[in-house]
Amino acid sequence: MSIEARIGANWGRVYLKPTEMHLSDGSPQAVTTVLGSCVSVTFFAPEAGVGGITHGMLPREAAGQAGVESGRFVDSGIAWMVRAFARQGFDPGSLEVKLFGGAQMHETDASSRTTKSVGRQNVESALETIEELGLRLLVSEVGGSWGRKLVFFPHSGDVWIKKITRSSLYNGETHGQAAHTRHGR
Amino acid sequence: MSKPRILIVEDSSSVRQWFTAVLAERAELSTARNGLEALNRIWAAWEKGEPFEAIFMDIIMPVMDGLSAVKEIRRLERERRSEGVRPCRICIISRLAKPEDILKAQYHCGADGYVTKPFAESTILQTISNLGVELPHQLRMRCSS
Repeated sequence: MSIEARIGANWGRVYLKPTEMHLSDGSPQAVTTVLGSCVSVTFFAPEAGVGGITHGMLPREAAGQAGVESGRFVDSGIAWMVRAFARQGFDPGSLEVKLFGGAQMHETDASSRTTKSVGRQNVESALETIEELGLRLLVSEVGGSWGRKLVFFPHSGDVWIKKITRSSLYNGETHGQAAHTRHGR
Repeated sequence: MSKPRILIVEDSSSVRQWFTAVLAERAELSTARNGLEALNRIWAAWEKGEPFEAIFMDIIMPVMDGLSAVKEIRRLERERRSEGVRPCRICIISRLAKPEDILKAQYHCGADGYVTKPFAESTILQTISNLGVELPHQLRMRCSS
């Protein structure tokens, strides 16, 4: 079954661009994003049917940048989302967390043999932040040399992935429409 | 639609039974109790011309651990590429959830996914789909909501 066939006809649609974050209101939605070396972390509060998702481009917030662009960085995006859930009364340890992306898109680069790729650094940052904040990681699908089209259902916590080729990723064939609702820049 | 061939590598009989209960109707399921048994099953499947499409692999097992097995599977796949052997999708299933465990499994050993125990049926079914392995439609529809 295709991902599209899983999406209800009356659901809200959100296209999440890099650096953006989305926190749902509990209504049925399909949040789509496309990942190469970027990382998305999804959050789901099962008792309330509320979910959130990040799309971080760079591993760590630098000194002096705190709070400026939370969603740009993997670590600050996760922290922002945990705070957003906490404000609604959800304990971080009760959230179901999933991690995706972190592809090594330029594996032929000679420097990649000695230097960690951006994708791997993004995943390292995500895993360390998830551990530091006491979150419960259910699933990790990271790495590889391919892109991922991700569709997140924030009302159920489901995440559906389609592997995409490098050419379609860079030609923009998988990019969708502008988001309807976004939060947390 | 034919059922995909899936191998479960797990030393716990209760976990093997859980997978059998969840997947027996949806897949051609085989099981192994450690990494070495898994390698024998995989080799035999290649020889038969019926390779596994997906493998769920525990890490801590006697005889040969899961990460060593994944590395060896990837090495053998590369070695036998000219004979038509193609990489199968491998997902780790483990209680270990430290960043270093997950990074080692996915960036160093070559696993495609990592699911932490305990897990739900829906998580496993989604993971199979996300790894690009199709389960028969009607059966998956029944439990997808």
